[in-house]
This record gives sequence, C-alpha cells and structure tokens, in this order.
Amino acid sequence: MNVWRLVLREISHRKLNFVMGLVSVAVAVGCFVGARTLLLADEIQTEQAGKALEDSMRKITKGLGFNILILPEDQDVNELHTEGTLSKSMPYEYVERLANSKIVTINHLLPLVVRKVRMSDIDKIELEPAELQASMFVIGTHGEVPLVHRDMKKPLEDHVPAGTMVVGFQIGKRLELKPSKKKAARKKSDKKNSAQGEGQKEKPKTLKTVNFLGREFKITKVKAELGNRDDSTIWINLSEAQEMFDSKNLVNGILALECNCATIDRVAEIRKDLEAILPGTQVIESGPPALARAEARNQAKQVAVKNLEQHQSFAGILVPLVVVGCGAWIGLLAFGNVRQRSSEIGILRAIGLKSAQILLIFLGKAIVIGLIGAIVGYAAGFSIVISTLPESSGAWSQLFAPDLLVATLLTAPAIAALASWIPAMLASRQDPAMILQAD
Amino acid sequence: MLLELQNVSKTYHTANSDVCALDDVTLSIDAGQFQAVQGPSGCGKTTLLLIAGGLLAPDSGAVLVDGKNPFSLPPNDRAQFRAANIGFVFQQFHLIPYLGVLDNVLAPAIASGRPDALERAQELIAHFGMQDRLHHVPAQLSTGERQRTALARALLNEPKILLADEPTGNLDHENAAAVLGYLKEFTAGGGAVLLVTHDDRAVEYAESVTNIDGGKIVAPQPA
Repeated sequence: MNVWRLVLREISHRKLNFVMGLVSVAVAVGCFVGARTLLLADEIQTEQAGKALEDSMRKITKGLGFNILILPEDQDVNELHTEGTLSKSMPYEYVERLANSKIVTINHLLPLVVRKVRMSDIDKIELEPAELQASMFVIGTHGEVPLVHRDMKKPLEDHVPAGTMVVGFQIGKRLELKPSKKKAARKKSDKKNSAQGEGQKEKPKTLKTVNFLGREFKITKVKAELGNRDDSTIWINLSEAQEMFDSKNLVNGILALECNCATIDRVAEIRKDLEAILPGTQVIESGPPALARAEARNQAKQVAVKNLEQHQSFAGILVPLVVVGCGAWIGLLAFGNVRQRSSEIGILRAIGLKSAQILLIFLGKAIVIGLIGAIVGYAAGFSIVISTLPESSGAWSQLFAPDLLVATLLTAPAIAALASWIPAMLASRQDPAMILQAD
Repeated sequence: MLLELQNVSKTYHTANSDVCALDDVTLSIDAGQFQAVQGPSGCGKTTLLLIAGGLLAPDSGAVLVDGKNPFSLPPNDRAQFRAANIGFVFQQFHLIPYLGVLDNVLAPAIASGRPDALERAQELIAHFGMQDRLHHVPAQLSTGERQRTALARALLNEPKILLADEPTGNLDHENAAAVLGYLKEFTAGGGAVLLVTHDDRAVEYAESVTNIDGGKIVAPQPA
C-alpha cells in the first residue's frame, strides 16, 4: 500500500470530481495547444503565401512591363539625366499616329511638354534669399491618349483639366498644402463618376489658387511624397503648357506606361516596332521597375505579418485567461474534495501518516488529473485544429511539435498541482483530534 | 508501564465559555492490561483517549507511552511514533470508503512502510474470519465486519497499545462480544488496551475500570 494506490483508488471512487477536473485541464491544454497549432499553421501558411505572392508578384510586375519615353531623335538624353528637362520637340501628330497604329507592345500614351522653371514663378511660394534660384519642373499633359485599336484601359495618370494644376509634395509643402488622400478620394470620385456617367465628371475641389507665369491656376491635388523629382514638379494642362512655352502642336516626349514585351531585350523590341511608325524618334527606359516590385512585395509581406501578429495577440490573451480560469476551477474542486474527505484525513493522521503524505495524497491526485488532462487536451486541441485547417496549412507531421507535447505533459500537472496547493495545505494541516471528535 | 497519564488536564475554550474536559487525571496501564474507562456522554472519555494517543496535547500534565512523551517529539516523528506504538478503534469505524477490506487494513503501512504488511494483513483478515471479503468496500460490509476490519487495521503494525473509543457502540450483542474477545486476546499477547465506553458489557472484559465524571476520576473500581 502506498500513497499513489490510495490516490488511484480515490479517483476511481469519486469519478465525477475527477472527470470535472480532467475536463478543466483538457480545456485549458486544448486551448493552448489549439492556439499554438493554429499559430504554427498560420506561420507556415504566411510563409507559403509569402513565397507564392513573391513569385506571382515577380511574374505580375514583369508582365505589367515597364515605362518608356519616346523622344525626338536629336534630343540629348544626357540633358534629361543631368538637367531633368527636354529642349527638343516633335510634332503632336506623332502621338495621334502612335494611337492610331496597331502597336501591341505599348499600353498607355502620355504626351508631355517638359520645362524647368523657378519656384518663384508661382506667386504664393515665398522663398528665402538663398533659395531664389531654386527650380522645379513643369509638365504639360492632358492625360492619356487612347489607342484606337485597343480596348480602353483604366488610365494610370489622371487628366489635368485646363486652368488646374497638380503639384508635387515639395511644392505643396511650400504652399502649406497637405498631400491629398489618394484612395478615398479616388474611390469616391469613381463611384460618383459611374453614377453620373463619363461625361459628367465630378469637379475637383480647389485647394488653393495661384498665379503661375501670368496665368491663374487652381491647385486640385497635392501628390504624396515619392522621393524623386516628381516631388518638385507641377502638372498643368498640355494645351496651356504648349501656349505658355511657345510649343503649339509640339511635344517634348511621349511617355508610354506599362509596356509589354515577350522577349528579354524589351527596349529593342519596342524600338523595332516604333521605327516603322515613328521614324526620327528614339526610345529610352523610364523609371526603375524593380523599385515598384519591391514595394509591392514589402506591402504584401507587411499585411501577412500584421495578420499573424493579430492572431498572436488574440491567443496571448485567450490562453492565459482559460488557463487561469481552469486553474481556479481545479482549486475549487480540490477544496471541495478536501472538505468531503475530512474524516479520512483524520483517521489517516491518527494511524500515523505525516502531513507531507497527506499533502501528497491531494497533490498526487492533481498531478494525475493534470497528466491525463494534458494527454486528452493535447489530442483534442490538436485534432480539432487540424480538422479545421485547409490542406495548404501543412501536414499534421509539420504541425506536430514534440517539444510542445513534452512541455504540456510537464506543465499541466505542475499547474494543476499549483492550483490544488492551498486546499492540499489545508488538508495536511487539519487537526485529526478535532476531526475525530466531531465524528 | 506502557501508558501513563500524570495529572493531565484539558480545557476547551469556546467563544461563550470554557469547558473543562479533563481535570487532573492520572492513569496508568501496564503491558497485558485491559483497562476500561466508563462515564456518561461528554464526561471527557474521548478527550482522554486522544491525549493518550498523542493526537491532542494536554494543557498540563504528562503523557508517557512506553516511557516516551509523544508531545516532546516533532509532529512528523510523533506521527511515526504513533504508527509504531498505538492502534485506534472507533465507534464510527472510520474506514476509508473507497478501499476494500484488504486495502483498509493495509492503510497504516503507508506510514510504517512495513515490508511484510501484505502477509500480516491477510493473516489478520483470516483471523477475523473475513478472508472472503477481501475486496469488499465498507458499504458492502455489515457493521460487525466493519468493526473487525477497523480492528485488523489497528493491529497491522503490531502496536503496544490499543485505544478503543466505544468500539461496541454500534454493534449487536454477538458482534460486540466478538470484538471485546479480540481485544482481550490482544492483551493476552502482551498488548495494553484502554477502552472508553459506557457499555456495561464491555466492562466485563476489563481488568480494571476507571469512572470519569465531569472530567475527573471519581472512583476506580476493580472489575
């Protein structure tokens, strides 16, 4: 006869008390294991999704192509790179010719008039004496020219109506204007446009009215900070720019956005296509596409990580709550058990059991409950989560963590014993004389 | 002397009053002696037994069991001392409800760690004629069987002293006689029995009877 035999006999005698304790431990362990397995599955899924996303982003962004700039043949490209401006022109008719062609390697056409001007040319920009020579770029554009033989695509650049002006971040800052809220404004505007029809577009809100080179312009948009020369650029209507810079029916370049090419040497392919349509022009690649791809990938990764963090914080609150609740319940059950067994405690003390042995009788029971509860809870929590997860979350062998099982088998009995500690202490300190006299 | 109580007094303090359970009680029992303590309910008999068994410390006086004062020992040593020297039998049997007869008889072995406990338990159970009830739990036993089980448990560790608190209180004449016979048998083997009772039948088996009333010994009588 030993304490453990006594514990097991008592468990088999008072099954309800044991089952209630067992369920409590199983629920706590189940929640913990379930949450951990779910998070592990989430991590695997995020990792897999991240890889898949990265791959598809690579393909998509590659498929989306890149931007090119069509310039007059005699334009010195160095001037563009060093000065940021273009001094040579070509007829506006080139744009129409390209739009009417059957070219498939180009998607969006944006004719431009580009000039470098002084910031002080806008009347409301106040400059320090040292900044008087500070320059900015002005781009005249009337939005995209549709390609006649292609389906109309959603424009990548907005139309700039006559008399209005869109300014870059730095210019906006000088004018004490904050960047416009892009998504909300655009969605709202799109909704309204579709409701009103294409012909009745919503009138953009005027943020400020300025005088630029003797003409009045209403600023309708401030672009977000991009960290490139666009931050120091203003966009006005193409026709107005042509008039203001003596370039009637002329453009400095045609920006073609999202060009698609089947071959690796994509610029060469476009050059070959354009040679036949626009002789006397040259083609250069505009803007680094790698930057856009990296940004898209980073954003996707950030969203995945944020989702994972949300799940982690939820589990971080739920699991301790359940563990504490179940621990309290086990403590209450143990307390009830001690009260129920007071006569037994009295006689065991009378026949010579030490207080440590009485303590062990109650802690032993808690340890047995914790151990069996851990096995049941682990099996239940793991199986329930596995059965609810999609196949892509990883095979059960991937999600099964032996270290978690071992930790659970060690921790659950320890927590159950801890929860039963106070009732067990009370039992071990009971005065046998008082109990036997009461009986 | 196996058991000596010298000028033992015990008072219970309650919120409303103090109750003197024992007042200057002196008592001694030698090996092979069967002593009965008689008195009305509430006269202090059970208190006397608990003090003699080392379970309840007296307010004053000395208790010596086989020459040792159990209350001078630390609690764990006192428990060990009790397991080795003293057996208890109660009116309410105090059997552990979820253990069968064999396990109930073996319970004191948890404390003593006696290596031949199983053989000794089987021997005692057979002696008390209960070998066919080995795995019956107390609820499946008659009152006589329960008391015989309690007696077997008390004797497992071969104590020197057996303290019996109204062991026949819940038994019919036949079973009471059997239990008292076993107690007498124990003294014949060199053990000492202190029986507290108000049952006149029990007194017939004792060699000496001490009468207690109001916590005081009133008149020792030869049996």
